Amino acid sequence: MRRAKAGRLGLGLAVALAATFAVSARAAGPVPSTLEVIEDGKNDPFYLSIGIVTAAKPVCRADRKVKFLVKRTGGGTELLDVARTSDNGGWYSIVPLADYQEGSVDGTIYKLAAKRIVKGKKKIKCGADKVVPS
Amino acid sequence: MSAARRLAVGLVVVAALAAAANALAAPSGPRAPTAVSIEGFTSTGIKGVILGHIESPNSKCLDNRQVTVTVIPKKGSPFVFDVARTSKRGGWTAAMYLDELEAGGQIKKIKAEVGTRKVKLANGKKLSCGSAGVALKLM
Repeated sequence: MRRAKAGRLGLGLAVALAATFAVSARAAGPVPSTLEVIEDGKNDPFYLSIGIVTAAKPVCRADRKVKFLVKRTGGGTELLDVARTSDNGGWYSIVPLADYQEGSVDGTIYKLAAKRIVKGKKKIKCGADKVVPS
Repeated sequence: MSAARRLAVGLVVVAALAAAANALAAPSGPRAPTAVSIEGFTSTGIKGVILGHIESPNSKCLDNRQVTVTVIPKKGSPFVFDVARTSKRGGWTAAMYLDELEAGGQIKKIKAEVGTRKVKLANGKKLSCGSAGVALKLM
């Protein structure tokens, strides 16, 4: 009788623990990653953009893709370069001014693509970010 | 035939077979040189940032190359500042916390080195992108 009660208690605890893990696993979203543009502008004959990606986990700073897009008049966007971050998060995009000014420019957009890393059974999701310089 | 002679003949045959297998496995593809340059230094206030770019006559050699940036201080051992990766158009940036950089003492030289990379082409051959290095001496 006592053994059966202990068994039921053990099973209940296991179920409660599993439920807690499931909830916390669902709650753990992607690692927030911040895209920062330090400098951007024309430097004839190029359009230069320099920035840093910051994140709490080093794997979310290294080897991230930063897309440099321009908004063209009429609503379309054009991808001009895809930069990759260094181990410490630095990135640099260098685009010939002729390509930047090919159509009329309404603005620029920088997009940090989300990243998924799988290391054995461990999965890490690194969040996306976007900067639209004013 | 003596044992030593048999061994020597065997070794020659093995070396010849290995060379033939290598030649079959890796068809010689096109090659393109790479040049690396350091453009300048800027700072975010917290991090020091070194900028540069690579050039190559073949644009396929510009994307996703690793650039190791090493700082050579006036006193003490050289240390890796950062390992940068190039953009599709060849731009790269290396970053490091300024306090870590200052802890290394006065800088004598900054070195940027890019390794070789093989890029698979549509025809199945591999484009071999050459390595390059540059050193910038600071006053």
